[in-house]
Amino acid sequence: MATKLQSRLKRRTTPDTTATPEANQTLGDATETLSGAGGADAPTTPVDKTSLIAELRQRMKRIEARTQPHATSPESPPRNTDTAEAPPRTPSVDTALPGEVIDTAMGEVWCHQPHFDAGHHHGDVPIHTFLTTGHGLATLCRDARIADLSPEGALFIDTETTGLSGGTGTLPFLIGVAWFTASRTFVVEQIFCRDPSEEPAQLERLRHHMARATHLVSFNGRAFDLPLINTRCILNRAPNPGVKLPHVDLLHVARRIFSRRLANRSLNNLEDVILGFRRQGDIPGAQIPAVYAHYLRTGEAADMVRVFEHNALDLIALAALGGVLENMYNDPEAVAHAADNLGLAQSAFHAGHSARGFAHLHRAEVADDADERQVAWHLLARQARRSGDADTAHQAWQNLVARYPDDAAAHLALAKDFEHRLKDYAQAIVHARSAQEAEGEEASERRLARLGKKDMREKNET
Amino acid sequence: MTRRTGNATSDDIYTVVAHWRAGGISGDFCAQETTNPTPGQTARFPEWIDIPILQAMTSLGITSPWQHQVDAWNSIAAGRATVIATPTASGKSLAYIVPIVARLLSRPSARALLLFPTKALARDQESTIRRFIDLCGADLKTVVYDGDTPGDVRRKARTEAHIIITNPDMLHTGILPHHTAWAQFWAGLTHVVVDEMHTYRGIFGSHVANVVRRLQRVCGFYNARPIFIGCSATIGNPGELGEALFGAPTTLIDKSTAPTGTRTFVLFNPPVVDPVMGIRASAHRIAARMGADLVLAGVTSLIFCQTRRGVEIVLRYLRDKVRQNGGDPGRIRGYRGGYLPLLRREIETALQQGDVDAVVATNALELGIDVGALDAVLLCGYPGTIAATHQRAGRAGRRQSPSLAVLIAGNAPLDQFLAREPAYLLHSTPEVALVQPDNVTILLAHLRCAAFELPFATTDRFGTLGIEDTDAALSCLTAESDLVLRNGRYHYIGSAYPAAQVSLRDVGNPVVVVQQESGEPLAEVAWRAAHFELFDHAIYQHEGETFEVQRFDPAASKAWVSPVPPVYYTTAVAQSRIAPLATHATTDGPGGTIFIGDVSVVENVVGCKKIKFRTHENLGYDEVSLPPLQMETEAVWVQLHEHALRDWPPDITPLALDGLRHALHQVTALRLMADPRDIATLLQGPHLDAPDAIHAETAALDPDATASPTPPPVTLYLYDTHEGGAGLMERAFASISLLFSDAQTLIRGCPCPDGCPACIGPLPVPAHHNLKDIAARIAAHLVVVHGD
Repeated sequence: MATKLQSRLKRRTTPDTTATPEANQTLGDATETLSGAGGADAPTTPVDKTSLIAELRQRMKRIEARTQPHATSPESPPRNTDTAEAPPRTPSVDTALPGEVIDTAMGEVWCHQPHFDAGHHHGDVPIHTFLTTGHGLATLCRDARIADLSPEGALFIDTETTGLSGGTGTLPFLIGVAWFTASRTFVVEQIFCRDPSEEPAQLERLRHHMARATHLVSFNGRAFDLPLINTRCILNRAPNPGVKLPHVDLLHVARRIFSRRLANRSLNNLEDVILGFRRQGDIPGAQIPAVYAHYLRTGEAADMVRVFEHNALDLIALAALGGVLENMYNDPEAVAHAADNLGLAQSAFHAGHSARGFAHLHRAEVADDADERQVAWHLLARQARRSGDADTAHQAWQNLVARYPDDAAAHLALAKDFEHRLKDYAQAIVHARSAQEAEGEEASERRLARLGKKDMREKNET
Repeated sequence: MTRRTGNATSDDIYTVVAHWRAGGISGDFCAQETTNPTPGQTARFPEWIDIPILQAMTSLGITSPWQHQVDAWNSIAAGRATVIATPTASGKSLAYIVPIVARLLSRPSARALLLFPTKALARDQESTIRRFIDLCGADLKTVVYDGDTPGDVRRKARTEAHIIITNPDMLHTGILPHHTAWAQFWAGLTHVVVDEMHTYRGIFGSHVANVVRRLQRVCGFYNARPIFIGCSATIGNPGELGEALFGAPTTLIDKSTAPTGTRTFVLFNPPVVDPVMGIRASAHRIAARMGADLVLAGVTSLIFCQTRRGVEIVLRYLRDKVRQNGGDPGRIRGYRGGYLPLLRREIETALQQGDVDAVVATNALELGIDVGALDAVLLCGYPGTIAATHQRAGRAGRRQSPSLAVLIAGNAPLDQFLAREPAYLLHSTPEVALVQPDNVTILLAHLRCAAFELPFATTDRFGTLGIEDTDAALSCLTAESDLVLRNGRYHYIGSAYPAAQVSLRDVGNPVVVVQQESGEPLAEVAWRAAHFELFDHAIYQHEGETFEVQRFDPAASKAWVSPVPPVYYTTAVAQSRIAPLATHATTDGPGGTIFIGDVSVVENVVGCKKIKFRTHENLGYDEVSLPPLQMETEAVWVQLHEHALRDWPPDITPLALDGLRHALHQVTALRLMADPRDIATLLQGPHLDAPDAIHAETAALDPDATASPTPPPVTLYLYDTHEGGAGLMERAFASISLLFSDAQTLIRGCPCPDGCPACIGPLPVPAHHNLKDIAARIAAHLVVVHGD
């Protein structure tokens, strides 16, 4: 006997069987509607549970057939828990997906392991460039621990998920990881849940890789992938070694270096602009959740193959981008855009590597863009003064006022330098007169008054 | 006159009332009832209460608690789900704060979650709790976690706060879907408090019951089994409501042992000023006159109005009167929605210090806000429910001091009904608060959210649902592609973040925003109600002001209005059709068979009538074009036996039936603590083809009755206007006989000669002089004498 709730649910799933007055849109039909009242008892006749289940199944099949007109193997999830569930996949599905089943302590999971040899290029960049990373990347991601770690210990990570809004129920159904072997091969492993029940095995496999890694490399993994993996580990009561590993998040690095000239700092745009790689027929990220839902319902893998490809490209791009960033840091002369030298210089100074910082700044000094040159000279002056190189600082300010006569901040700096270091009050007065905008009217007047007195005294003494 | 504030003596109050009754105010004193003072019943502090709490209680001036507080403490300490439903000012907050703080002091990892229906109440309670914790000298963090909480405070709150105060909406969309970020909090969670529990009724309550089910699942995942505590104002079924919300039996503490002073309750009906139309003097003017008398006698007063505009009117009248009599109009304050918290605090402080003689307020003051001691409460018009009347009247009189509450009847039909039948108010139990957690649409919405939060096993239960029901519902979601079943577990694969798509205030439909021409939002109206109230050129009344709808755009869920002078109001004419889908139970009455079950309803607003204010004169009919509404809901329906109708002339019967329908609608709303818009009534059957007779929201038209060889029985439907039902109908079915008896009383008791809007609704003139009698007699046929 179906409960009240069950018969309501049944009507919901089979609306075409119910006598709704919708069918009787004309007023003249109201009588018919009324005579339906006489049959009101009909739904209360005992409904056999099994027949209800059978009907529900039929209904589900119809719905699935409707939503997925090309479904090759629509799968109706079994309702009855007494009978063993049929495996939700057909062999043809497994063959369509690249990869194979692997065993873990937590059961089976699907893994695809494409290899890329050391000579593989992503756009203009050979991916083995990443193997030269160390000091530079450590400086750029502002984590000194990275400097001492071998690039072979890096685990690249990127997930494909059922949603981008976050929240506990977002499933990273594909966790892509990658690493370089001793023979400089780039090995990608894509750990895929053919259905959500494989997640414990997926996380176990991930744990296995993380346990061997010394650090992680990702793009926005700090804010997205890793917290999500942590949530999934809590839900599956699984350990998460990833939280302890040093983490190179290339999104943060890219923001610091490229924000002066690139409004769009997505991985795809960086690939295009920095690596010279343009994707062909790549699946848009926004479509990926729907592709997985479709795969789960139908077992159709065609679009899922594209998600695997997308994920592998993301991992390769990480390696290439990491390598390029290391090179850019190490070789200021090779940096194509002086604007980027500025960002690199800032990170160098932040880490205390002044020589490298100045090297980048000297490149930026000759930037095409006048604004960038101005920023570069200011940074140069500030860092030179901090490192005790007063002459370089002075020269930078002089360069600034020569080329940018309205630069009040440079005039102010020179006014101070002439007053306190060089004791040239006449020169100090000249610059102080142009510095009012930088320090305000009141302070400027006080400064000029003081300088006037000092100048007079000096003149009197001589 | 010597002015005393607070603690008026019995003499002060009696003198004023006696003065009124002696002709000081003309009108009818329909009822006056005085309850004797009761002494408080104190108890000893239980042994388990530690010194810091005893010290805090002493600092609050409490050396011995009331018995009911101790009962609550012991019940909570024993781990029982507990509902505390005692009147205003009986120390409800302390009834849960004490055992919670006691637990937090003894176990540093323990956590508590407090739910309040509004942000304002959450902030009020936060300061109360912090003060208590400070008095204990304890280092326990209390954080309000809602939409206004800044990001850094949120992060800290999740790991560091001992007490989180929030609202059901935030729990639903902001906390539960991110439960892993709160792992530490859940693991330690020992108490969940649902304060102002009586506000969780109908659709909102049905949603909240499901949010609680989700909360319990998440707690279960972290091996926590918190104790649920509900606090309710006086309602008819606090224990039952607690059980429905918490999904478990509750221990009910509903006998207040706090002392009460002499309480006098007066039901007053203003004098008739227009004998032809039966219109009475404005309750606002009466309230101002009574308020002035009270203020001048040194009796501090709180005057409740139904609308903001009412507040302003009474405030003006009252200040004028007080000024004319040499009083200080500055000591009369207003208090209504829109006042900022700072101003509210100032008024509260002024009251406590005796700097205020009277406060004129809307129900903004109703919920839990502490305004201190007052001697008298005046209610301008019936607040809509017995429970709300009790709650507002309970504002008068702290502890042993005497108090007065006066309900001044308005012109509304319900007010006049109560004025004629004061026993309803004085001797009926307060209304019940009903919820329907298993409303299919609501249930499925929350199952989606729940599956997003944690996968379901096929052997799981959701709240009180059985395994099979839970599984059937999950299968339904699987069929709708929101879940997949693999290896005995349902996994969520639907659209991202399902909670964002579920509003706790409606069933599946958008809420319509009413906007003024300036673009400023005026109000929000539920989807179905919008079709009946916001069609193009409808007159929309808000807070006592009149607007005309310029345009209603259902697709955009918006309606634009502009103010107009109040000349007439509009009432929608709908063509509705209803069809039973399933019968859950039937019962036979002498005049008909009564069913309860599910129905499908199509409602189509096709026109509107313009009715002149006061005279109820019909000024004309306009056509309206709106897409029809279709829903499945719960209904009670009565198939009338032919013999119940055959004695009456066929031309009168449809009108009489419609009159009965109108009366039944009124009394059902009254009995079920429902907004009249929560239910609808509809007649279907042959010979009901007098369109003019059919007023209000629904009309049944059957011009072609002869087509059927045996005419179907006339059927009177009473249905829930919320998709899937909000739990009203089971109660209506159980008390259907009583409802018809009430309807009969309403019709017979109305002093009008031939039927009026107050009893059988606005009817075409001239009304048949037997109409009321026939309607009442049909109703009588449907009353089952007990034991029948």
